[in-house]
Amino acid sequence: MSNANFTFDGKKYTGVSGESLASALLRNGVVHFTNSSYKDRPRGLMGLWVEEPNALVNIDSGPGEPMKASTTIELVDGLVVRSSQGVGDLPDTRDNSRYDKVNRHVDVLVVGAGTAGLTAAKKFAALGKDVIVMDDQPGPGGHARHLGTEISAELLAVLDLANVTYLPRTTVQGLYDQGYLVATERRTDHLDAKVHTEVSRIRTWHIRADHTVLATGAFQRHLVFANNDRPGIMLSHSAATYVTRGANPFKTAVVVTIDNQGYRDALRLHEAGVTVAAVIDIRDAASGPAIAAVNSAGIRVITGKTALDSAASDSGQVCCLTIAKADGTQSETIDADLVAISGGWTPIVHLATFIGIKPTWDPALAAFVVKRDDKLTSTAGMLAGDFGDDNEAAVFFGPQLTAEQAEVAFVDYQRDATVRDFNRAIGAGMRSIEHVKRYTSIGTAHDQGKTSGTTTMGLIGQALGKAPDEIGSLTFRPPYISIPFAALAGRDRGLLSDPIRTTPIHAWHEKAGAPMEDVGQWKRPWFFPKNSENMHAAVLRECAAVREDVGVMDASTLGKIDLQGKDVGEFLDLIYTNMFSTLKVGMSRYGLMCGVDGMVFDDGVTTRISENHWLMTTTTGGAAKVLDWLEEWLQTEWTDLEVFCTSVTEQISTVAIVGPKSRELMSRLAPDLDVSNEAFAFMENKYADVAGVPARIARISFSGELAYEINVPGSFGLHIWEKVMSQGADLNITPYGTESMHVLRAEKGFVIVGQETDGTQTPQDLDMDWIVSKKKEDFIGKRSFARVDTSREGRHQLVGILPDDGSFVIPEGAYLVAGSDEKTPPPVAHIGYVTSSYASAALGRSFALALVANGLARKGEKIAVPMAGRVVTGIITDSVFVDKENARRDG
Amino acid sequence: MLHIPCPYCGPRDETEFHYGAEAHIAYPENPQSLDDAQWAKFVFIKANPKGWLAERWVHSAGCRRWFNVWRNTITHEFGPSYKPFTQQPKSPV
Amino acid sequence: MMVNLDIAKSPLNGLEVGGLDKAVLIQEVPFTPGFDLRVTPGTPAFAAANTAVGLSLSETVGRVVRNNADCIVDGSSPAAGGVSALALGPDWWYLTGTADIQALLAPVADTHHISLVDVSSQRTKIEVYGPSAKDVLSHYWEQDLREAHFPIDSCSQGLLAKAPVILWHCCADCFIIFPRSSFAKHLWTALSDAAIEYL
Repeated sequence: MSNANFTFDGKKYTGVSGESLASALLRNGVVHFTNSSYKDRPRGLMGLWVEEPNALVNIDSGPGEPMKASTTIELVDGLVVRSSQGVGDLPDTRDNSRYDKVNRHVDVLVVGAGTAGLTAAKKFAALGKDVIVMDDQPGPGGHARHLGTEISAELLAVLDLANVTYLPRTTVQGLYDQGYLVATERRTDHLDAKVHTEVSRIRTWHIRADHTVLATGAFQRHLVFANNDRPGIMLSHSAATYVTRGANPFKTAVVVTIDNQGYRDALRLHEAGVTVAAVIDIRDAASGPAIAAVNSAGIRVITGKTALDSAASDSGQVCCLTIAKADGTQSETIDADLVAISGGWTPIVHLATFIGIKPTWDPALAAFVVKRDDKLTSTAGMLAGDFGDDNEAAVFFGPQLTAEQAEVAFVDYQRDATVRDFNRAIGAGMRSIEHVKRYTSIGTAHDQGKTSGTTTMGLIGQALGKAPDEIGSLTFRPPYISIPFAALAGRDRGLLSDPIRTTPIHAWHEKAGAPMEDVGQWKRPWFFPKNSENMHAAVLRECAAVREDVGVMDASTLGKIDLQGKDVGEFLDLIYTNMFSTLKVGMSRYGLMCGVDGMVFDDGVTTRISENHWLMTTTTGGAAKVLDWLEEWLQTEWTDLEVFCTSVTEQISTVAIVGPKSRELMSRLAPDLDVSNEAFAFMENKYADVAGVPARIARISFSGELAYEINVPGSFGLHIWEKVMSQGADLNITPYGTESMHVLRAEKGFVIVGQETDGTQTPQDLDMDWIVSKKKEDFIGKRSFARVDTSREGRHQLVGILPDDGSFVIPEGAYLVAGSDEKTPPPVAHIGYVTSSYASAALGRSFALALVANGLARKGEKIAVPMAGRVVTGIITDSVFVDKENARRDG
Repeated sequence: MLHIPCPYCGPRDETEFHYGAEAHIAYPENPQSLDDAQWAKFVFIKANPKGWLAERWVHSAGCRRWFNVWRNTITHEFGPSYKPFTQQPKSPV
Repeated sequence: MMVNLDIAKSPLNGLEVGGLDKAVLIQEVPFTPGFDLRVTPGTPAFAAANTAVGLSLSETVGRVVRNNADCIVDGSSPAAGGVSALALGPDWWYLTGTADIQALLAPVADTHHISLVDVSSQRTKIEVYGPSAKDVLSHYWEQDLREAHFPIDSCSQGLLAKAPVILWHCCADCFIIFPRSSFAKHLWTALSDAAIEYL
């Protein structure tokens, strides 16, 4: 055992490495730890472990952590802490510690390495099961460890078995359906007071266990009497443990008990050198080996009485205890600087209640217990009511108090909630624990009712003459103890919080300095700034280059699905609103998909590669959704159709060259290809060698301009892009990003599914009735177009908007109202909203697309856009702004 | 997190699946012959009982198969899973 | 298709971390050919595909059959002409290896209802090898990796660090990942970060 130097509230102390901070402070004579959060009353150490309500600290050394129970901090050299008066504060600096997550499947997970847990582990290990034993304490032994009882070496040996994994310092935070657990393992805080960046500070375990043994043990309860919160009033089990280990600032103790545990602790205090003035037992008569031992040690025992009130010395520490009968009569006072309370055991039922198990009240033990043994879950030890042979108890939570006493009799220390608060709740007619809890805030602080839960139910029962289990049941929720969010985040931080998808050309975009736009998980170049251009200037330049010269865009993110089989045409006729079975080999067609509700679902261009081989493209964000959709119909409805679908999104990299000079550039890239309009028509596909790579070239345009999409295997995407850039240098080849793409397509009135649509638009709403086949007997969505709601007047329809002020870009999402009358008093009914809005180089002004009620019939009408502090006016137009005749697409 | 028994791959985490609502609702033979109420029943009305329900799920991140499975909407327990167009196992009680 | 490696780029440019002498080695094996085969078991097409590939394709999802040596343990220059067939679904296999898979199956595709799609660029290949290989994976892989549940020549699709992958336990201490190419960099960030504790 080595010494460790630490700082508490600015003062330096020395303790023993590895003991708890609470123990070290007690060893240094610190009995008054802090003051309570609401009433500023002096408070000291109560407990032994995570049940501690008072002795909280903020850790300032290492990674830092607020509001941690000093009972759970293992002392290391250099530890710096401040007492926390109920409220914590986070360190100002970033925590650079490493946090971690691990997944594990196991046959049996045992929670708790006390006698019961080890016994269960031994049983399952002997059956050949894989076993993980998790325990939140630094070593095995559970209660026995605190009692100073040796766990037999034979039992401990189970932890060394090959099929047993023992994880100390590991707290099961949540237990969920189907044997799913989440636990946090503290891996470095006990080593030193440093930030660890290479070994994780906390590892979060996600476990799937075929069977879970809950052997979680129990906490000791306090009793509720006047001034029961003074420093020096402790749980007897914890007081005896600290004192036995040499952390003993006490001279004279009084033990107040309702069960035989109080006698065992009295004996331990006595043996450690504390004068035990008396054991006060509420029971009139009690028996058992512990009582016999106390008697033979000559310790005074007073039966039929309990604690009523306490008084403090100048330091705030308890100096004497008034005891009385349960009704408050026949009081007498005993001097003591330690009042050790044994208010009964509260088995740790948290994990059991997380999965919906209701604990049952055992009056003989004065405790809520959980007896469970099914396929998924079993309980053992104190949780299951196994308290040993010498543990008779009275059902008693505190004496009758006067109104004055009730004001200083604490039920929940952390909330400073008293019997007076409690009585008011009962007086207001509340009977359920859930109501009393919310009215008084009992059980809602840092410890979440670990000490006060059963006590509250007991007190309600005592007040109403009912058993605690008639009041309601204890319900807890994860996490079991408070933990840093970083621990729960595990590895899902920073770059790893969500996958980033990139195309083969991404590195080029980054090097060119393009800011990225998030499109689903994809990173797409937003625009390519030249010199110190802002986005507005860059987009105007890029759009002008596309309309006048030639631009290039990375279209590799589009979803792509390979379809093969003799029935693909028939299948696509059912999936798309328009006809596909008539499409000629080598041709592409734009298609729109709807859900059965008739609402637009996705769109894209599909190409017939050969008679039975097709290639579908989807929106960038819709690829996975569309593949699921196709498989759904093939697998669950039209199973006789011979169609196989394969995702090829990343297999194909697509480089689109767009603009009047794209024909010249295409001919340079593929000298053997006849790129004339006669030989290579709009919507046609050709195969050619492009810069040494076999490519499929498609004349598809999302801008209205002459355009060629060069499709090559992904590994060659960057090579093709670089060739396009070098071959097009003298043609003003201009890379453009998603923003220019959006402007160019909006100028043509092309919709983007997800921007112009939100799942409530039919093709007709989008002014796309032309794409709805009238010939086909059925396709998905067709029947819904005839529904009353989809065919009614007044639906929002896609139109264009030209603001009167052509220099003003209406914000996307802005609401539109009819007319331009600024004097109409609010509220003014809105008639629609803007879906896309840009400044256009081609138009030399701003424009927008919008969904407007009855919009198609309102072209030419005035609209107004109420903005903060002003009203912008404009006019409803057609949704196509550039090249209504489609003259530009052929160059 | 639910552990969903895929009939092809075995039990897997919920994150690998997408939900498909109530099972055994077939696409109507001839949608155009249905009146609005009948069509709306097919499109919009799904059972949401308290207790056992036969549901559809698709193992999107795995084998990509659609399948049916009994699930208890109260306890989150899973009953047997089964492939489409196979005999539906009895509801667990 | 023969690729001109001078102009081709793999998603990770052959990155590696760790080493053969370390607890783990993680490396990209660029330009590994891969094909998605779709065919329905029990049909003449299935029989024809089996004959053409020279394997009896597993009808149990999650099993791999092969006549191939494919990873760092078996030797980094695989036997010529080999194929490994990973059963991804009841009518879906991932074929990889040095054989000319396209040529083997093209005649079947002409006469039967199968779908063979070259997906060599759709995915790349990452090998994770060493005594800590399984530990590294378990930071991100939620499925059961215990030997009894995922023995050698098991394969599975799932999410590794939230990215869709095929995972193949090819031999002792060796796992092969076929991630979607667009996720490869993300996955590399994740795996190399997890490896830190083991190196």
